[in-house]
Amino acid sequence: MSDPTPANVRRSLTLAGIGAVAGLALAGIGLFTAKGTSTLAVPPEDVALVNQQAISRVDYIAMLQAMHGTDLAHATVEQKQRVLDDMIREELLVQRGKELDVAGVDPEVRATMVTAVEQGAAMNAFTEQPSDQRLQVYFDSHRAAYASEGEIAVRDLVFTDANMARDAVAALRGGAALEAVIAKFKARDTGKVKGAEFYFAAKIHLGDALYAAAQVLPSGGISDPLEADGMHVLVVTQNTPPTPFAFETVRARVLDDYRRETATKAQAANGDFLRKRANILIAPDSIAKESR
Amino acid sequence: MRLHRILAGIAVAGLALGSAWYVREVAPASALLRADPNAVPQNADLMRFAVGRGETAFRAACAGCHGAEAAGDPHYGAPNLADADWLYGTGTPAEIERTITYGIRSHHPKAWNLAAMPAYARPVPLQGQNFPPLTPPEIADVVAYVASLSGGQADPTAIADGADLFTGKAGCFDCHAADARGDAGVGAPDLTDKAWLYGDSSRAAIMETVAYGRQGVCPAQVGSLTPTEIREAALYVYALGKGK
Repeated sequence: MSDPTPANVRRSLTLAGIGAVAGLALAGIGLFTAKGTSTLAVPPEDVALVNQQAISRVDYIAMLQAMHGTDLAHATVEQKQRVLDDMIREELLVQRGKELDVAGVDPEVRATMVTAVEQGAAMNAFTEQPSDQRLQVYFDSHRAAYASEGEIAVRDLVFTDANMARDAVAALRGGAALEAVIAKFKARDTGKVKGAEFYFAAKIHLGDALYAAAQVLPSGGISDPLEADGMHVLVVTQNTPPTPFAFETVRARVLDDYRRETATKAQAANGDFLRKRANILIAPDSIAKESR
Repeated sequence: MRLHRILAGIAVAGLALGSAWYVREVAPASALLRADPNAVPQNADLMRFAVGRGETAFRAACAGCHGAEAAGDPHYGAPNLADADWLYGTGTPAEIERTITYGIRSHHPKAWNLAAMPAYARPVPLQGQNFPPLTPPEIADVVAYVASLSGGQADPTAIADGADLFTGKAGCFDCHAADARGDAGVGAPDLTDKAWLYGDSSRAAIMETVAYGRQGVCPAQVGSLTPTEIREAALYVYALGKGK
């Protein structure tokens, strides 16, 4: 084994030096760019860091547009400065708010935080694009929700007594003209349902009892006399029950509903998760039947 | 001696590769993010860099609804992104970037969420808003009027009644404007052109929209894509619409 020559020593030292510099450079890059670490440089996607909290360029540009109605290229230096100052000020106040635990005392902040967290839990559900097959399965299991609203047109006639009402019904069922019957038996048309209405509207206008009687009658159907704050006879001139829609027709609605349901489940799961990981102590008398 | 040369070669090659990666990927990506998004289309090099990579991000995050060719899908109300018709904003890269970042009715607090199409055949057409339900004949009149705006034929009386409802009781003008040309500030479509977001110009499709409402969603990509990918996708979409 011979001693290393001076040339070998020099080469070894040079290589070791290169390696050390490269290692330090990599470590430095990692140190100053890794998430969650303190950095001296503003990441390219941000316009500022306020106590390491980023203010993104997207928000900055949107704020410029909202405050001054201009984009980055046309905004003046003063406008940019004002917007940036405002955003930094807001960030500082939000951070101070966290230090002061504003959410602990301000109901509005609490409500906003609750909404934001719930929205956040739902957001993932809206990112997913379910397959047509999955939507079809959802549609098949919720078919009743995908039908047209039923429509009904009904005349609500009020008679002075039960006998008049009974005779009028007989005349109508015998083929007498509606207007002639109204005149002959001195009936009053309440006009509660004006032309064709959706079932829900007719129900509101007629009231539950009369609507229930009308809804089962076919187009051209005449009810028996009904006692409901006076003697009523219902003449249904049109009744179109709800018609189921085909999947193709309501595909967009199915997607919306599917996402909403998924979001609701995600929010519930988030609530369960938070409860599970929380340390909750409940005073034994807090839900007692009687309190003194 | 030979080992030293090999090690030196590896070190030099590593440095060269690292430098090339920095020059080709990191530096342009950083420059892209620092640039004014609306000014990038004027920078051919940056635009080439962004559009080339933006397609990948688009296919991963957007093509599921808008299609690989970005032609949209009227079944789901996913708009055509390759034309010059912009539902939200005027189609600048910054606006597109914001939409991709925060979405539309995505449940992100910064999403576009100023309006939704009421369902006029429901007892409460739009939660939290004061739109009244319409009767079946009224809905038919509104449908006739809307169809007429883009050349559809209908009974003139129905069209006139529909116009009255549009600018009156139904409150359609609130979002679509009195001239029905829409409002890009809230994402209300122009009803006078022949671009249909949902379905087509058929009465059945318009009826479905007026009677049962629309509340389409564009998801927020802020947690799914990196800021660079979002900007690249935005510029890719901008280029698809040819910047119109």
